[in-house]
Amino acid sequence: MTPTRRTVLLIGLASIAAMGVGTVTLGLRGTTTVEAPPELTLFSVEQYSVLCAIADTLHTGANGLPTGTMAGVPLALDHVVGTMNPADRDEFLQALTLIENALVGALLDQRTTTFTGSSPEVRAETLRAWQNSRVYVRRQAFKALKGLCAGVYWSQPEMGRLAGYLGPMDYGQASSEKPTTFAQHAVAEPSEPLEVQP
Amino acid sequence: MSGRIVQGTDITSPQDLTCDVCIVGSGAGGSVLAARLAEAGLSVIVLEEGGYYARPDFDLNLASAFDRLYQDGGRRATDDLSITVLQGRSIGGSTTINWTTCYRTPDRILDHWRDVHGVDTLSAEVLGPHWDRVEDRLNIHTWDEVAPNAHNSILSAGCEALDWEYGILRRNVKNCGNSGYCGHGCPLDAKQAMHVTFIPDACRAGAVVYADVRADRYEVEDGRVIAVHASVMDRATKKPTQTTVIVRPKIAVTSGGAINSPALLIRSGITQGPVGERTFLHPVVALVATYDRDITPWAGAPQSVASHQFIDRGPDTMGCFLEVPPMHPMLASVSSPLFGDDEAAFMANLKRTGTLIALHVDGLVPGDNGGTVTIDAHDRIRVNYPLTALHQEAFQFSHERMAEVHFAAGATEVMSLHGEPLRMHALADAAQLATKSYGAHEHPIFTAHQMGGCMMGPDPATSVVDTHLKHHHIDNLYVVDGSVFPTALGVNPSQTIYGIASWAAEHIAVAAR
Repeated sequence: MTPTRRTVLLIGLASIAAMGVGTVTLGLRGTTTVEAPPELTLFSVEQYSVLCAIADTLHTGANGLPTGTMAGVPLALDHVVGTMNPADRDEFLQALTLIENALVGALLDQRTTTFTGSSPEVRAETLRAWQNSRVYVRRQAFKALKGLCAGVYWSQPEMGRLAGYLGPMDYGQASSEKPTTFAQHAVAEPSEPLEVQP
Repeated sequence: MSGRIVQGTDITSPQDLTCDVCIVGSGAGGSVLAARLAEAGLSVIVLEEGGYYARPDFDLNLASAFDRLYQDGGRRATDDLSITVLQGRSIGGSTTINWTTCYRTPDRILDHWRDVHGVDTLSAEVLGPHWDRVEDRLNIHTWDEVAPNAHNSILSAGCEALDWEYGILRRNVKNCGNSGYCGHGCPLDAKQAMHVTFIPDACRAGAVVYADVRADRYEVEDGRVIAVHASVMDRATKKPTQTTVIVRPKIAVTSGGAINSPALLIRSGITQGPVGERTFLHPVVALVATYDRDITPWAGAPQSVASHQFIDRGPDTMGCFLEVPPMHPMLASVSSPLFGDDEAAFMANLKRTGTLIALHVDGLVPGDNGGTVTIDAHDRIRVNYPLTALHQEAFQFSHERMAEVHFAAGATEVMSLHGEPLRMHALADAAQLATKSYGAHEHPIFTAHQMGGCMMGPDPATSVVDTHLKHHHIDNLYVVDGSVFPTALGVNPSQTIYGIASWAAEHIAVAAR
């Protein structure tokens, strides 16, 4: 049976707790934070910082494109994740915790630093390890994070134009009429009478 | 009753309404049914959880399009996140955002439904007159007035070179401007979606259509639905407000689509029979390729060519058909396994990138029971769709066939979308596709065609509604949408739903009098 997202995320968190005192230091290594915008309504500064690090690893600013943070991905996700079902939202935040945690990194990726405290190269290796992990839930979590970040990033017209995309185009639709009432038939006028059969 | 569209912001106090027929959902099934029943003189109320968006609202911005017009903002997925579920959520349902491809139900599918699942009420002869009327209203026709765009021409050129079957598609468009924005809401009203056709028809005949109103549950008493309890939704948060709507109909019809319809029945405690079971998705896999010419895969009519060369691969195998998706930047990026500098390079070359998709026909092989729809403890809709060895074999097969098409059409590099992509530079390299894994989280999988979950059939033990779409156990409840399909179709499903809805209107009109 395929484990659910929630099950595996909880297992991941439980395994952190179960590792014992000797590894507590690694597990409690703090997040390297960045300045968070005041508009945040959901994410803590730490969660926002982790998301900035992920977004900037996915969208590095190559080819003249802005980085994920410059493109406002983490802030936009603050709103998007906030509209999710609370259970989905909790799973998303748990995934951030797992990626950031140095102990999980040490156990799974030979990484002894937090994700936010790692170099860009290590961050990329970490995400690639999640993407291609034999642990199913890590592939799940990568897909969710990549999909959300890429969705926000590439849905912005500015990014598309930098990639040669011309949209969105103007077909004059904004000035067209949006009806809510419709001219009523005096008598119903289907193209032919409805054949009501017993 | 004066027909109109009422939006959530117009509803400032609790409503308690009565009517002949209350239809939950305004997509391909609900809209056709509403029009037919209202034209027959019945009082009709339609409840749609999504908003009412029309041409002036279609700003073609990818973010707002997905946020407004797609279930869960385009983030709906199966429970393990392995399959992305693209499904509409607005007045018009998925017809507002589909890619306009229309097919009548293949005879072999109707025969299969009759012979294997006991559905003896539907045939090409029975549905033919209804399809004629729908095709007339929606201007469904072979779209040959304009040549396929460069993207679809990959499929036609490849099939031509390989001597494989392919055809020009039929589309529900009138004066199509070839904008390529079918999936964002047509900016020209050229697509004959429900919000510009059957919904106005229904309103002209007196139906009242409520947008932003989600049916929460049916209240059942003595084997009959006595009320539909609904909530007015806040568009910004997509959460229910405190304002409620209660509809007390003679007949209740569920037309919420193949995921939301079984979910509504389950939420209502109407769980007799295999509700939520046999959910089929036409699971889609894709293969991208680089060309030495501009493809501009976002420009022009998104789908105009298809190949059914491999629709029937013989017993115990899953057939597939090949089509082309519109690759706007967001879909391209979300589909790609690449990130960082690699993704930036991929996106910079998107203009010369072509994508083929293979849609797999689930539910026909004995033992292939598809997925399930359930509601979890957090009131979330869960779609569980196991990907079996049957799927994995089919996915590898279709990857190999798509590689053949790409190379036959002149691709210079073909790339699989695996986490570690396979890059092929000649057809001989495609043999390496056999070394890759297929299935959940090995590569992207999508669905834009959701079917089943409230299967029709004569036996209450193995079906949810009877062969006239009436619930086996609830006297005045019908289900009219793609959820009643016993299997997937092997073609894009919208026209099958239109036809079945038009046909069902005959029986429902009788029951409502």
